[in-house]
Amino acid sequence: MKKSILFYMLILLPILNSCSKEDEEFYNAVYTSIPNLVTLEVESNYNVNDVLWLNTNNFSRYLNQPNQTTPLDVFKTTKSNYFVFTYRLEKKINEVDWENVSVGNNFVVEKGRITTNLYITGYADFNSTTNQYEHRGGIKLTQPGQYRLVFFDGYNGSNFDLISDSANNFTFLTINTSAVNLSGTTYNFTVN
Amino acid sequence: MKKIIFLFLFSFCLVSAQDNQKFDLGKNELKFDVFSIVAFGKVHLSYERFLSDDFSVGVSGNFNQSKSREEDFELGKNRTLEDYQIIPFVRYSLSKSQIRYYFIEVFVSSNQGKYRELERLVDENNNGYYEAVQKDYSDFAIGGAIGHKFYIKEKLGIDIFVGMGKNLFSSGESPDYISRVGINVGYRF
Repeated sequence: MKKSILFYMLILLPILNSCSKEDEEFYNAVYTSIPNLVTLEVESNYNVNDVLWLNTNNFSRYLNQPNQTTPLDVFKTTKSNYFVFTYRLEKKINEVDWENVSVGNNFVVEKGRITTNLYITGYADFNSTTNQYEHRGGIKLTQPGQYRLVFFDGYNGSNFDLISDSANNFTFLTINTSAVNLSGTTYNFTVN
Repeated sequence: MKKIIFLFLFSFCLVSAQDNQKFDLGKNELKFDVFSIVAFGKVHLSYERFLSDDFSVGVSGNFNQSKSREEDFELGKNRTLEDYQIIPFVRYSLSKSQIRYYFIEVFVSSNQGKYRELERLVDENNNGYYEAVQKDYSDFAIGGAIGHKFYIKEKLGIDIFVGMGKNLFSSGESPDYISRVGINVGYRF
């Protein structure tokens, strides 16, 4: 009797487990790499109250995709009204350590949107008139010091990602990109 | 679910006293899988022919009737949607008793359904775009299962089984693995 009970418990577990795990694979996502969709508007030097701007002026709806002979229609693929990218601002506090700077309200947005928390999320909003995903935002530099702007690593471990917010069952698109005027994922600068 | 488990355990008590007797149970059994219809929305019917005390052969038919699974497929939550499986099987009893025994099973499965895969298409303006395109698949799986079976009143058979099969010709279209689980309620004659 005890063996039977044990047997049934063992057999019921995988049966119940199979209810939730059958064919749960996710297939509807595309990953690609297209460089220079973000631009850092760098200055030769910065003073307190200057603004460090960045934009997505190169982020057209139609992008040249590596190894393809036709442009990729990003909006038709995703039906996404915006793409997001994330980065953070850090300040050097001693010879080796950096601390995260809470941007708070020290941010100006000209196009698109942002949210700020421990890091900054930029939203490049789709403009159907210009057929561009548009964002231009800037961090107000309120304190002197050594700073660095750091983008979070992309899906392939390099540069950073622009990620769609695809509607319904349209394809999710992750674009690994780089920023003009930026080598890698980090921009170091000094505010006087 | 607790009630179901209790009923099974209670049934064991009824049949355990009769384990070693010889019975004339009949050679044929028709079965309906109550688990698959509830859990997966699949209609799963089986016929089993008993060749001896140890061996039996049979065939199962498995037909998807689940609206929720179809909706999940349409919304892109699942890549595949099985339409049906036809499953011939051979079972071998691991116990001496005719009315309560464990068994192992080898089965093959002819299965067909729908799947979606991403394709890069080109529109009339010569721009590329990605879209999940729906296609049909058919495949052939081989697999095994284990289970337990017992009879109530020598006519009402209940077998619980769990197993898995691997599709042999899948290259991304059909599911790599198919599950074979169920709780059959059958009539032996």
